Amino acid sequence: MATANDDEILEGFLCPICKADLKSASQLTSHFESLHSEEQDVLRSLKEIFGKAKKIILNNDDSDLKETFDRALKFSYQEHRWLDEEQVIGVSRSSTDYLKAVRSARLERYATETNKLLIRLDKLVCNMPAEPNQRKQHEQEVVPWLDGSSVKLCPNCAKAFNLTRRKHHCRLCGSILCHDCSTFLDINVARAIVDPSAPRTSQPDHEITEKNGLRLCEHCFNLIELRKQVQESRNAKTVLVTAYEQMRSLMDQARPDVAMYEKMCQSLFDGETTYNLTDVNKMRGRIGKLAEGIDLLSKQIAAFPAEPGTRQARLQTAIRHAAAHYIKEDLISLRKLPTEAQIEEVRQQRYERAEKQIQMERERMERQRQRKEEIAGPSASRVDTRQDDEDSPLLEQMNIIREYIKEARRDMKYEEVAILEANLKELKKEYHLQKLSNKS
Amino acid sequence: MATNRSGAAQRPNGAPQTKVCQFKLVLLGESAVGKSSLVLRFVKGQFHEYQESTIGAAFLTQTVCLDDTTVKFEIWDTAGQERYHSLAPMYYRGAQAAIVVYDITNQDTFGRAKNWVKELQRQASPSIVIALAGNKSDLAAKRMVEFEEAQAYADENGLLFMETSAKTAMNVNDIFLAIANKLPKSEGGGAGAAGARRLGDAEQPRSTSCCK
Repeated sequence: MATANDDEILEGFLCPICKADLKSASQLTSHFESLHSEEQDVLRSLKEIFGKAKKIILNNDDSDLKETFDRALKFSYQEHRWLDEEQVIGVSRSSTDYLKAVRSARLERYATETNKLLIRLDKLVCNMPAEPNQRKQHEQEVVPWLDGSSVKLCPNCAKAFNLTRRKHHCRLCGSILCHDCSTFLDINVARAIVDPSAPRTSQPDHEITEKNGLRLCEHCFNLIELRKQVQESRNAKTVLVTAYEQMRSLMDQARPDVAMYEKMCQSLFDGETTYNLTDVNKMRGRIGKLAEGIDLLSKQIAAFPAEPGTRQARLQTAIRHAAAHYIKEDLISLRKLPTEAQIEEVRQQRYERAEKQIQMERERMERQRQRKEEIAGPSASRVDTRQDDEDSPLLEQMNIIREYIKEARRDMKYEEVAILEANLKELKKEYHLQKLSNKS
Repeated sequence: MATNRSGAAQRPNGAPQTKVCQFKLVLLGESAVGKSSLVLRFVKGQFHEYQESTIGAAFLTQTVCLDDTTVKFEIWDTAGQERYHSLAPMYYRGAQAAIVVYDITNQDTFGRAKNWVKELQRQASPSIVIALAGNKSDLAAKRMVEFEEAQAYADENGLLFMETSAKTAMNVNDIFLAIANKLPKSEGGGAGAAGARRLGDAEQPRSTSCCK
């Protein structure tokens, strides 16, 4: 072995310890670090040099590419052992400020570029002539078009311009491009971008052509598209807002219902026959359903993920509390309904009262007639002018209204029921009066 | 004369009572100053006019006989190109001796040699024996680095110094012998962690068990 060493000259990326040829500087460094790291004290002082070396070599040394598979296999074991050792994070440096500087410069550049394009777009789309020639002139007044006489190839796809591949101009930057490389921006969309307050038009189904669109190069189109997306994202409602709006609309629905319910309840207690108990119960069920919906939505809002302690989290819990309070105070604490017996009793009382009144009225009229007869003496016998009930237009009308009431009840339109009932009552009264006057 | 001496040095000294010491020696210096040529002249007595540039490092051994000891040099001839600079610490780590080579016809290489010396003093083993070799002394007509200047620098830093020529073999063996003389040969005398190793039977399995 020793004699062989004497004769031969080893050369290459030799490991100084085991004299293996490692083929590349980076392999040698990693081999040396992983296999001969027992002398830690020496290594530590060299480690940073190796680190630097690795970086330099990785960047410069072409021979790194000559890594052979079997070599990789042979040393994979040692490399694994090296990886298993837990690495301590060394000295670190924050690059946030640098990032911010680079980013803000870049954003600035994009922002100015986009603003410039938006100003041009605004000038282009406002009072754009419909007539093609005038329009062309208008477009060139806003954005000067590049002189294309020396341009032989499309700057984007490098295809030569000829009879079939015509030169076109980007309407925003004035640069030259071929038809295949141009993108069209719908004029209505462009108007919406320039003036976000304008009503949004739905995406046009028809293909955008030169007639109803602006020819743009890819670069300008991307910038405009980006701005459009920013606008849309700004206007887009979050899930939270949608849920809140839904909840508010439920609350708005519940308010008149609650008022109606109160009115119906009162009418029942007064012994009126305008509404019956099933109506009021149905109404109560509807309010209950609304309350359930509000409860569910407010719970969803409260459960929306938010950092605890932030304003959003506070807002969410506040919404939930307000909704719970509203349900408890306004929707759940409704007046209890009277029982069937109670209603019957109240009605009976009312009926008796009415009967009594009618009785008194009759008596009074009787007395008046007797007085008249006393004065005028016996007159000709009365002609029975009582008409057939079926023929009376009043009765007919009353039947119609009864039908209406039935319908309104079915549709739970209790305001209408009340009005119709009142109407019916008036008709009844009229009918009675008519009968009385006929009799007299 | 030089070849004679080198021949005598190469003859294995069979006397069992003589000490055999093994030293690690590393050559450093700017690219194309003649490190490989110097080693080739010392080890094989050859000289190539167009010596290929070394890739990574070269490893050679040579044995020289002193009065009562046999010294075996394990020579690490490093590549001088700047891109291999980062590998150098691996080779001079634990070396007992170093030869920093410069080209007397090129002032820049002398400056570079000074840097190498500085680096060795800072990073290498503290007991390392450093020799400064001003190579290509056959080209004295084109000399750019004065002998006195280099000598003064060597004295200042406690270096061995010789002007050598791998082409004419001038001072080549001398510088290696001077180093061998200066190295501590006693077993305990090897100062530092990497002292001279006694070459014995224990050395054999080590060389066969390596990753070659």
